[in-house]
Formats: sequence, structure tokens, C-alpha cells
Amino acid sequence: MRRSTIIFALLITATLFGIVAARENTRSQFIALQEAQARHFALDNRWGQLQLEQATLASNARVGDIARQKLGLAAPKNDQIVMVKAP
Amino acid sequence: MTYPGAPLHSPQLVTLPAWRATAVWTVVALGLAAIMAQAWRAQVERGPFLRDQGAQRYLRHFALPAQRGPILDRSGKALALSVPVQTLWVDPRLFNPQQAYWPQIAAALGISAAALAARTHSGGSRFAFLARQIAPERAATILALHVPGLYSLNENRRYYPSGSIAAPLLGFTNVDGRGIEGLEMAYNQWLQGKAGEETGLRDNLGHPLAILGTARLAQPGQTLTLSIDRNIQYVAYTALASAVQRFQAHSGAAVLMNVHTGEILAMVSYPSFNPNERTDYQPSLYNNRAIADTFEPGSVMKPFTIAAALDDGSIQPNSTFDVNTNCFRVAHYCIQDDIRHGILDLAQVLKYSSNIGAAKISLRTPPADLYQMLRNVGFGQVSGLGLPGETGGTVPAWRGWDVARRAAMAYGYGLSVTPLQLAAAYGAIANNGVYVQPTLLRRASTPSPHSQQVIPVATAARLRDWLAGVTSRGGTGFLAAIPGYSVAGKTGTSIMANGKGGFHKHQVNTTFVGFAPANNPRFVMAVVVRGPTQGWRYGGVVAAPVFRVTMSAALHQMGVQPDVSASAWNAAAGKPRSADQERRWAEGAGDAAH
Repeated sequence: MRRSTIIFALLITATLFGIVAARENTRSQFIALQEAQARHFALDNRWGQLQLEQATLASNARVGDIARQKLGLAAPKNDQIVMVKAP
Repeated sequence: MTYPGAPLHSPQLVTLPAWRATAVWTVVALGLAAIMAQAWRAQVERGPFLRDQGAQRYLRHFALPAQRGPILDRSGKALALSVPVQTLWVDPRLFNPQQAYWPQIAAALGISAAALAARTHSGGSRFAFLARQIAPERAATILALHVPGLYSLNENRRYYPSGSIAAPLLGFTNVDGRGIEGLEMAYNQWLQGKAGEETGLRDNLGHPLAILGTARLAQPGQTLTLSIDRNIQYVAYTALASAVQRFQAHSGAAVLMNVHTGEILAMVSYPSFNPNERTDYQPSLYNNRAIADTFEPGSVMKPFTIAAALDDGSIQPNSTFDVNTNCFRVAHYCIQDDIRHGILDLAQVLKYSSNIGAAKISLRTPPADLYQMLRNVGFGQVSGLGLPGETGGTVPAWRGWDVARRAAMAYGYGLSVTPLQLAAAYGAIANNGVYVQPTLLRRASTPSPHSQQVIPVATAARLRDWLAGVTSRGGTGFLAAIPGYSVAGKTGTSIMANGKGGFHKHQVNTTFVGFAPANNPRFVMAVVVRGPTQGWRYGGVVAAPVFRVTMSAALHQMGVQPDVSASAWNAAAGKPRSADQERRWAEGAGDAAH
């Protein structure tokens, strides 16, 4: 009778510690999840901005302007085009 | 104090009646039973309902936004992108007492304090938008103030890196991320994705405390890869824009298509709008004129008149027509040519764009055959692109055609078409008589499942030869000639109907439709410039240069080798007719800045 009481008390104590550990685990996992989500959002955001930046930098209008104004390029006139036949 | 005669020790035990104890136990037992019963009801019978009611009072559902899929061109360059942004909202009951923060918030948002106050009062009693879809960095500075009653939502905003060049084709989304125009609308289901949801506890500042249950993850939208080539689209747009500006025209549209697969490489409409900044709301600019604007096509219909007549044997490939008159009278109409010619064969009817010749051909052809030919090559019906706003044009039923209508149909009056239909119909001539349904989606070089032989192979080959004459020396489409390549095409200049049964005196539609290389066609393009008011207002002058510039860019871009040697090309093309033509042609691919 007395021994079984002690065993039960020990089991209950162990269970209580288990609950505390599980709670703590959940909480730390949740914090990790939050951090991961925030990072995901930040990376998504950065990726979107980079895509946008790349598309803007590569836009035909911009490239055309630079070619014309900075590099002084122009599309060849028809009589400037020389066709060569591949041997 | 004692009473006399009373016993000195313990009081006398009085035996109570047994029923009192029973009664007490019964009351206690009944009470417990009632509690048990109530507990049973609460826990078991109504348990789920009560738990749910409880959860509703402290759990909150949060939407997880799904990112809308991007729209890419055929080589994977972005045409429309979704970028994460943040929306700030307030609970006015909590936010209104925090006026000390207001000047700081207003300054960060770049608005006045009065505007901020107006925004907090623009929603309900517990919800109002403070700023929608702002950059996350900007939102972060405001959220860092930790103002009670101020919350944020993660959203996505749509950006169009190519700006106005493809705007009427792509359309746009509304602030809630739903496509409401163009391809964004047509493929909304595909692009949209599915929003997720998570359930959990949050504190009064909206920070998550715990998540309960499994979240339904957001499913991002799918990528839409178009057949459009961004470079060719850009060249087409700038060439069209400079033609519209140079000739001070009303508007313009152009479509460039692969003749074998039906893939559309460029579809432009001018004037356009900036899809990234739509404060100047002008619905007329949202029109995709390449599919929504119909017009009487004029001379570009002549090849189909000839095809129908050859097809049913009404004329022979070597038939000739006497057009040596100033006025060919049909009913009470007088049909005229711009320049008087003598006797023309079929090639010359096309090369000089003779209305009289075309009318004579049509009057020999049973109207049912011409009607059937026009329907077969796609006129009078929508193309099946699935874009909102597409119109099918009109081809009136042949039974109602009188003799004047029959003559007029020959050179493109009395019916209306779209630029897309013209490109697809000429595509059939270019593609050995096989009509291919146009598509805006990228196809892996397999022929379209929706293709149909509509013109006999031999007739299509003859038409290609004859149409190549149009861009040669003395032809009306000379300005469409591209050095090194054989080009076939047809010019069109039609007087615009005034909608009251007559015509505007000075308003014309100028058109050029053609394909290249003429010997082994790869691409077909239709260009329409509506209402030019300056200079020579002919399809060969206004629209043909747009074709030349865009088509040569497409041929180079897609790696099509020149098919005519320089000397042969010079001999065939020869010199232009006038000094002005010479100058305009010599500009070559041009470099219209836009």
C-alpha cells in the first residue's frame, strides 16, 4: 500500500515534469517558426525586389537609351548593311 | 447555573428520527447527480458546440496571402511580377486616443495629419485602412513605434516591368490582386493561387502567441509563359508609336505571329497606359486594339477574293482584266483606281492594288464561295484566344449581298475585321493554305491542334509569289522591303465609315499585312494605323515601315537567315519610286526612341 503510493507519486511528478518540458519545447519551436516565417517574408521580399530591379535594369527602353546616348550607337541604315555569304 | 433535579453530567442522548439523515443524504446525492448531469451535458452532449463557441471568443483566423504567379515572355523575362508589400490598418477605438503619435506616422506616410485623421474615420468602428500596399521598409519604420491599435497585413502588389509596351495585352489587377483586364483577367484562375489560413492566439498588438491546429498553407499561383517575345514586342510598340506620332494618327495596333505554330510574338496597341501608375483613369486606353477594334480592311482583302475565285474556278491563274477606265460603274457606284492601268494579270491586280480588277473578279465569283473563303480564314468570328474584349468583326451573310456589295467586298468594304484576324488569315496564305488558330501561350514547336487546310496548296503558293511583287519595285508596299529577305504583303487604305451609311471625307485606316521570308514564311504581321492626318496617308507609307522595322527585328532575333543575296535583292527591289520613299526606306530598322 505504502510502496504503491510512492510509485504513483513519483509517476505523477515525472508526468508533471514531462508536461513542463513539452510546453517549453512547444514554445521554443513556435518562436523558431515565427523567426523562420519572418525570414521567409524578408527573403521573399528581397527576391521580389531583385527580380523587379533586374527587369527594370534590363528594360528595352533603358538599354536603348544607354546605347544611343552613352555609347552613341544607332541601328544601321539599310544601305549600311552588308551581307556576306557563309562559305 | 444548574437546574434543580437535572443530571450533573452529559446531556441525555436523543435519538433523532432516521428519515432526517436519509433526507440529508438524498439532498446531497441529488445535488451531486445534478452537477454530474450538467457536467455530462456540457462536456459530452453540447461539448463540441460550447468548445467552438469558446474558441470563437479568443481564437482568430489569419489569412496567409498566396503570391500571384508571374507572367513571363517566351524566354522567361518577366512581364508581370508580384512583390510582397504591407498594408497598415488601425482599430480606431484603440488608435484614436494615440494622437501623440499621429504627426510621426503622417510624416512617415508622407501625408498630412488631416489626411491621416480622415483615413482613420473612413472605415468601420473597429477597422480602417491606413495605407495600402506600401514598401515593407516603410511599414517597418511605422510599426516600430508600437502604437496600440495599429496593425499590418502582408499582401502582394503587381508590377509590370515592361511598362506601357504590353499594357493593353497584359491588363492589370485590382488592389485585391484580382485580374480585371487583359490576360490578367483571362488567366486569373491560373495565376491567382489559393490563400491559406492559420488559426491561433494573438495579443492585443496582433503579435502571434500560439498557433493551434495545422495551418492551411497558401498555394502560390502558377507561372504563365506567353508566346510573346519582349524584345520584338518593344520594337513593334516603338515603331507603331513613332508612326502614330509622325502621321498624327488616332491610334494603331499590330500583331506579329509565327505562321506554323500560331504563336503570337508581339501584340501591341497604341496609345497605351502605364500599368504601374493608374491614377489617370482612362478606360479607352485599356483597349487592346489588336483584338477589340474592328475596321473596314480595304485592299488587304484582295488576296482572299482572288483565292475564292481561283478555288471555285471562276477565274484561272493566268486570267487578265481590263481596268483601263476612270470609272467602273456597278449599280450607281463608281469604282476607281488611284492610277489608271491597262490590262492586268492577277499578280498586277495585287501589285498595283487595283480596285476595278478586284471588283471584276468578285463579280465573276458566286457570293457564297467568297463568303465561305472569308469565314474559313477566320473573319467574322473570334479567334479563340480567350481574351476579354475580343470582337469577331462582321461578315454579312452572303444571301443579302447585292451587286454593289459583291463588288465592294472584293476590295474590303462592307465587312469589318480586327488586326489579329488579318494576321491569322495571311498566316494561312503563308502556311501553305493551312489556317492555324493563334495563341498567346508558348508552344513547343508542335503544330497547333486547331489547324485546317482552307486554301489549296497551289493557290497559296501563287498568292505568295504575287504578294512578293507588292514589296518589289513599283509595288505599293515597297517600304516594307527588308534587305536580304524576300517579303510578301499587301497594303490597304480604306476610307473610314461615319456610322451613318456614308464615309468620312478625310479619315482613313492604313494597313499593311505581310509575311517573311516570302520563299519560306516564318512570321506574319498585320499593322493598322487609324486616322493618320499628316503626309501621304496610304498603308504603304504609314503602316509598311512599321512592318519593316518590326519584321526585320523579329527575323534577326529568331535567327532566320537571309534568303536573298544582296545583288539579287537589289535587282528585285530596285530603286524606290520617289525621293521621299528613298529617304524613308533608307532609315532601315530605325531607332525610334521611346
